[in-house]
Amino acid sequence: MKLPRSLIIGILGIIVIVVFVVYNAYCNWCTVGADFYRVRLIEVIQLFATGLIAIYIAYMVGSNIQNDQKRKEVLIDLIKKYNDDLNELMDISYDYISSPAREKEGKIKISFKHANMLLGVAIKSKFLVPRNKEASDCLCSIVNLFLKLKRYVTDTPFGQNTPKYDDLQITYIQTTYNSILGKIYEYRMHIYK
Amino acid sequence: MITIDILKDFSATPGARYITDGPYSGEDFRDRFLDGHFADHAADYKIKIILDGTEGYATSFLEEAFGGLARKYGKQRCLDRFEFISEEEEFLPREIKDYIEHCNDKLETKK
Repeated sequence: MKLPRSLIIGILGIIVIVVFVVYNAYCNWCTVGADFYRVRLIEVIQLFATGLIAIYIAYMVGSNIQNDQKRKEVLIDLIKKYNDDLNELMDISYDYISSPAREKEGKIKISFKHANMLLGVAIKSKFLVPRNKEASDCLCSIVNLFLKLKRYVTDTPFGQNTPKYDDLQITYIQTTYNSILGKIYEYRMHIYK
Repeated sequence: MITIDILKDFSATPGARYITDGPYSGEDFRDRFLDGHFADHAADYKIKIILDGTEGYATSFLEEAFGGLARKYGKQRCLDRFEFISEEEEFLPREIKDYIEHCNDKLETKK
């Protein structure tokens, strides 16, 4: 494990102080009498140990905060990628609904598959933010809404020779899409809570 | 147990719901690959369906293939006999089981 520079400097600093104090205690170099140092030698060692523990704790806390931040960033990147894919997917879907064509069907299926895969990775990465029930619940809602959206877009009339989506189905698609966007926003807030 | 690999045995580009909608439809898949295993009511061997490798599945395909089968032979019988494998799409098996369980429901927008 590579120790950070600040930790090494801290430890070296404490060693220098202790060496200085112990040297004075034995060589009577300073103006203070040797008895003073002899009485306090055990305390100096205790101080050294306390200093080391303090530096170690500060280092561990700092390192945990950094790791926690990195874990959150991984999830945020993942959900951002999902958000981008979803937007693209909706563009293709709206395009298909307004002017259906066979070649667009393949694109829609592939896009749903990619987005589904990303959500799968996000669900598997839930352990990165443990004890965050709100974020976890939010992710589950996104999955449920996404499966609903897929059904609204790719169930019949999808794939028919002349598909025609009725107004209610289009409304459901828009509403579900907006709900997912809202949940994504909520998820981001819960991650950084 | 028998295994059906949709990519190898059927198509890399599964289509829509009915045969009249175009090639590789859910109805076509059900007729050619699934119906035969359910015709004998005593048969209870497992059917493993490998879903990976295709370009993806439309709901209309999945609903007609598996939901349609459940409408014909019963939900529980289908749920008991199928084992769905998808390494790529985490939620695909759950999605198909949902279509089987709600095979008699109409799509919300059609109510």
